Amino acid sequence: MNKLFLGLFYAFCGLLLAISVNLIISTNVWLEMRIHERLVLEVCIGLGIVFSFFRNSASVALFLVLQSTMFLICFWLSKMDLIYYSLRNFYLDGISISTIKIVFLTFLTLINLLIVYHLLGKKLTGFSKFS
Amino acid sequence: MKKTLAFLAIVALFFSACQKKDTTSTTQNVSVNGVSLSAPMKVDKENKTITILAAVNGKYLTENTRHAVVFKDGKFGDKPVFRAFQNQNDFLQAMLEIGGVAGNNMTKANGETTYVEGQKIALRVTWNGAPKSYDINEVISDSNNKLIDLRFGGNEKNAKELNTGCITCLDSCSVGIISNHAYTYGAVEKRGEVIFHGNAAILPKDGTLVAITYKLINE
Repeated sequence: MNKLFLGLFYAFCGLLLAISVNLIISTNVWLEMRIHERLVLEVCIGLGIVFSFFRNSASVALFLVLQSTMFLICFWLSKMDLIYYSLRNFYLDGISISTIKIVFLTFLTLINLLIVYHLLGKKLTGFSKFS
Repeated sequence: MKKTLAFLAIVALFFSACQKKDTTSTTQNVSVNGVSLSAPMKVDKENKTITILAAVNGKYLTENTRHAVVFKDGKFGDKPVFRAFQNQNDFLQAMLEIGGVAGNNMTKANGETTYVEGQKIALRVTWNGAPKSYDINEVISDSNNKLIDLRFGGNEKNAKELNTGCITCLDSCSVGIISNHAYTYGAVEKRGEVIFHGNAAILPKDGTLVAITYKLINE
């Protein structure tokens, strides 16, 4: 069960990393026209899952860094909606952008709430100490 | 841990149940200017027009692209302003059937120095609820304000072999069936001469089905 949780957690971290990479790629049209967003997502999520095999706890620090990086790049480039188009191109054709936005932000919010809960002293098993 | 996982699983199930239905299933029977998902191409030999069904790709209403219309299942199916439901190979055959004269003058080697030739094409876009049928120059903006000059390039062999899905490119192209005589290959991606994107002020929202009509122009 713990391994499943870690796999999902680090896969989500990989997803955040992939979104950041896709946002950076979008600044160069030559790269953007050649690199498919779904490929970046597949590689990063795969790396996240592999990384989870070598970890015993979910790294709160890693998650917060990746999340902050993603939002900072979004704000710098003023490309908030590209997050959702990146996700849609990951085999989610036919699902509306608004639905993808709601689901993604809900998951992100839930994980943040779990981390806040954890950091406030209600130690959840599976999460690392914030260090 | 089990509680955390169970909680996340319940939330995931809740949202998957709440998701809007796949637009392709809900719009299966919707017809736009005579084309639909079950019949995505209409050929009118008498008027020398071909109409195909496509969906607006909201991403390229703000982002730069060199692809106007690409078959959704082609290699570049996620890169155009309009994602077509009709494949490029059948489209090319239909162009030949209505009497289109292909230029076939583009190769990978000469792309950056050659302008696409072939019969001139007028492209118009409309959708259900649109006030009129729009010319391509109204729905796709060129940062240099040059008019998009579409030509039937042909490129049958490359289109089949490379399977990019390209139906209409925004610079001269050795793969796309139809491309823009106004720029040579590389103007968008390599040399940054121009920025193209869909006109968000006119086009409907992401995912809206549109009918794209190509008409041969006899000069």
